[in-house]
Amino acid sequence: MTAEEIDAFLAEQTVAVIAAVDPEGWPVGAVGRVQRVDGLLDIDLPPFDALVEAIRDGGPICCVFEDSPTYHTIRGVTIRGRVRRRDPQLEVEIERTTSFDFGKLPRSER
Amino acid sequence: MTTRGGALAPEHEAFLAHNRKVFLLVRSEDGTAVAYPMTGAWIDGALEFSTYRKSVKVRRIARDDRVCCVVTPWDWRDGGRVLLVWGHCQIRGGSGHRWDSSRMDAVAPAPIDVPPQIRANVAARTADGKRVTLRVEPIAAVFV
Repeated sequence: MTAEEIDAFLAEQTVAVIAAVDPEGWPVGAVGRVQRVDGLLDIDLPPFDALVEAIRDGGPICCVFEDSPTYHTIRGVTIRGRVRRRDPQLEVEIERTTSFDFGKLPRSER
Repeated sequence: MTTRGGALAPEHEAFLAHNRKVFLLVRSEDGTAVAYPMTGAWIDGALEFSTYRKSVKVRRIARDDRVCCVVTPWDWRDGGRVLLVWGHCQIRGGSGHRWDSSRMDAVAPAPIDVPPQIRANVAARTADGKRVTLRVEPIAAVFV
């Protein structure tokens, strides 16, 4: 997706999969409310201890937004960043944004 | 600890058998987590996925096979419980390997209608070794 398409897509998204790595090195995640506001991610973490404890100040975090009404309209954005603030709400500084759009796949893949 | 999940229970298996939308969480080269939206299938006691051999996720799994599968209903953004499943991810494939989407659909329909040409392409690319099967046998699971 173009930067404008990503902006338009994220403006409509309020829920994402949130992922981090726990102290033992295992990935862990959950579904939670995530919104991009003023260039940052605001996250309402679900009350899942393992994920809450995997997220630390200044630590990395990944959020995936996805919409898939049909096969050819599957689109999504993955945002990776670092925790800037945990209280009262989790705030993430965005470091990297990538996207996918099945509607733009080469014809051989459609 | 494996993130506080317990052994796979019958209710977990029932959820896996009926829900095929999965976010596959893997570790990137720098150790951080990355999530990939996938369509999975619960086959013979494991979650299976199809993907391209040269994809970044396969490279990452080959480096560190510990994964977390966030299994959700199709309407995953509407709330409701999801199932987290942890395991070591195997990478299976090679010339002659098969991916049988009809067998997958017999377990539970895919979350969205995949066009026949796409299904045929996946089968052909699997047979010629360009696509592989990722297989995760659960070692822990928990509803969230």
